Amino acid sequence: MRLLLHAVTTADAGGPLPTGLRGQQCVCVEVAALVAWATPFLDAPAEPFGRVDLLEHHAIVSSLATELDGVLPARFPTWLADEDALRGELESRQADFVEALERVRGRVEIAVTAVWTAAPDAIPPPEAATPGRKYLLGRQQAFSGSDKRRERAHALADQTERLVGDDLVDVRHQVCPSATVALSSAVLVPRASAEDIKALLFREELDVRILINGPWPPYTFAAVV
Amino acid sequence: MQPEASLSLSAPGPDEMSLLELADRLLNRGVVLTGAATISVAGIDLIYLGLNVVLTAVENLKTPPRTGGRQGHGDAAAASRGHDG
Repeated sequence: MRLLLHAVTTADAGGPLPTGLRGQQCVCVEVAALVAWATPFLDAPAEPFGRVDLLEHHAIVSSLATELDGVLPARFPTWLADEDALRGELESRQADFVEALERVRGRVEIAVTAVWTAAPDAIPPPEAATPGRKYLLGRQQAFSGSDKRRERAHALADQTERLVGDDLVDVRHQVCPSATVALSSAVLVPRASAEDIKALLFREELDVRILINGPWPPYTFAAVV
Repeated sequence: MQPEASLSLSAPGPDEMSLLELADRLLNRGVVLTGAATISVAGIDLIYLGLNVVLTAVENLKTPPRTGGRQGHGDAAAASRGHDG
């Protein structure tokens, strides 16, 4: 029986097993201080996974995160051949999992996304005597505009860290990840402070719209090295 | 399964952007165990248009994980408290 892994958590669960994907009952595999939560599938899913499955996986992980101190979400979709394979993974990397769980214990992730509200400034094409020179001047203009946006995005990242202040446990920034997004940040904060921090982070800016999401399970900070 | 999102090249709205951020995390981050991944998430790729960073997640879905060893993370380059990009 194949297993679709949802999360690895601390072993302090007391409630009933959650419902897994597509109405299946979750199974859990315990190894010492660790519990892995997964949905069993007898065969390959009849229908390929889609958005509904993705959101169900998120709901399962979120539910675990509200009940347990430490949750390491699994990247979707992570398959294991069977319970023995899952147990083997937990045993062989037990110390790594315990260390990672300590890092995220009692903490949640808040997503900060800054979206440009205007297109880049339209600059008239440069005048030049030769096509080659005109091309190079045009490239110079494009890079210069892009540098300004990048600089602004870095300033937004710094501002985000300042606003979170002492509650900032960890942070990852992606600066200008696309033409429309100035900044995509993941901020790890204590669960108890999450709502206050969301209110702090929400702000009006002239050139970007700030979107705040979460608190979510610590997806970005669950890496096990 | 039919794609659930329509193809649009316009800038995503706030709700759509929030979904993109979440999908990016679900597909591109988190613990990776050595398993046999089945890479077939229909419809997911369409909701990523407009956020280039998430396109890497779609690529991850198409790439089978290595077997017999640990697997890296797509965001590993983003250093703690650092800026990538």
